[in-house]
Amino acid sequence: MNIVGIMNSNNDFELVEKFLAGDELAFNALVKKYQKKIYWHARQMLGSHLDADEVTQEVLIVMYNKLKTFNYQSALYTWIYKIVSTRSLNQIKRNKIKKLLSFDSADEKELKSSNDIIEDIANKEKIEKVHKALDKLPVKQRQIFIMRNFDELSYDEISEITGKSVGGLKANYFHALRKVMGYVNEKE
Amino acid sequence: MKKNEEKILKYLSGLMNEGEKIQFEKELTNSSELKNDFDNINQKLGELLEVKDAAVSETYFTNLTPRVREKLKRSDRKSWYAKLYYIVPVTAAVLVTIMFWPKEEITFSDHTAQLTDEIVNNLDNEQIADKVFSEVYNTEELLVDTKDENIFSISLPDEVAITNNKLFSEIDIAYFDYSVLDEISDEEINSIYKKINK
Repeated sequence: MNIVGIMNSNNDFELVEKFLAGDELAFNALVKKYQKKIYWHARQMLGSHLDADEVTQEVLIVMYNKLKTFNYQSALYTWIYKIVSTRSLNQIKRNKIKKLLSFDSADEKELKSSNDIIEDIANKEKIEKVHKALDKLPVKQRQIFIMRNFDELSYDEISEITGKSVGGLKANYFHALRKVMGYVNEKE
Repeated sequence: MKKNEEKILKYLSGLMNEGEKIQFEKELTNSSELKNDFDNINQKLGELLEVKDAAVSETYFTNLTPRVREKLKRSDRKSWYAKLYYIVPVTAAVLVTIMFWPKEEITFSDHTAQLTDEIVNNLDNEQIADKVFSEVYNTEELLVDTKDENIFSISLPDEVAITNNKLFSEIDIAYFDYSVLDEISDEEINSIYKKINK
């Protein structure tokens, strides 16, 4: 972890301690600091704003209820990423089951695509393109690709979050890169 | 491109060992073809990752905390309701169990002996008590007819004058229903027995 990371972590620990001592504003500060990271990780993993919104809220609620179990042995953001990544994987499973049982109605699909926080059409198209590329990846490879490229996490940090070996992560990332490049080349 | 892609992706993934990495970097400076392919891949990846900086509606993030807090409040309320949902059926189940739990059987003879004992002990006139009930104490049948389990009747000895039929029927009813008998207070029982002895 670099110096900025250490400073941020220390600040995080202070905020956690304040929150646990009853300072609700400290929790607000933590939310403000991490909400975008949480949202975007979920958004890239799930591909829709509604799902990402649901996961983001879930993660913040888990943070609120479980911060007392945080042991200060790792950086707060790795603890948060563990929650986001687990919740996102669970949401993917839930969506698959819904799709399999045809619970995901046409209306819901339309709602998912129409309801968005990205107002700019050009950006929407870009996001769409990324989602299509990520959709080609198995979830574990997608997770690593997102953590490496969007969350800018190191292999060591990803290893701590996912519990996978660095070697395994590198191999997975290599396959993810190859598939993504395959998709990009195909679209040209 | 295809030829170099594998190598480039391996380098970007960090899959190369130190020797391979040095060799690749050296090649990158010497081979324009590899350099072009390398730049090409990086550019395509860069374009794909441009969305990182996409502008989004800040209102969503501003409203996120209040929405989460509202949800937390609701889930707090829900957990109370959930507790109630459990408490009500559990309490009902416990009450039903208590109501239908088989009560300890009071045998007829136990009951009669207890009652006889009480009558004897509560009679004011000790002389009569000795005379009349000393035998009764050991032979409860004298006092209570047990021929038919469904019919309880009192057959008090003649020496005990019971002039008031109303009182007699009061006793009879008390005998007839064990539950009523159980519910009669000690004072009420004493009062009845005293009246019998008058």
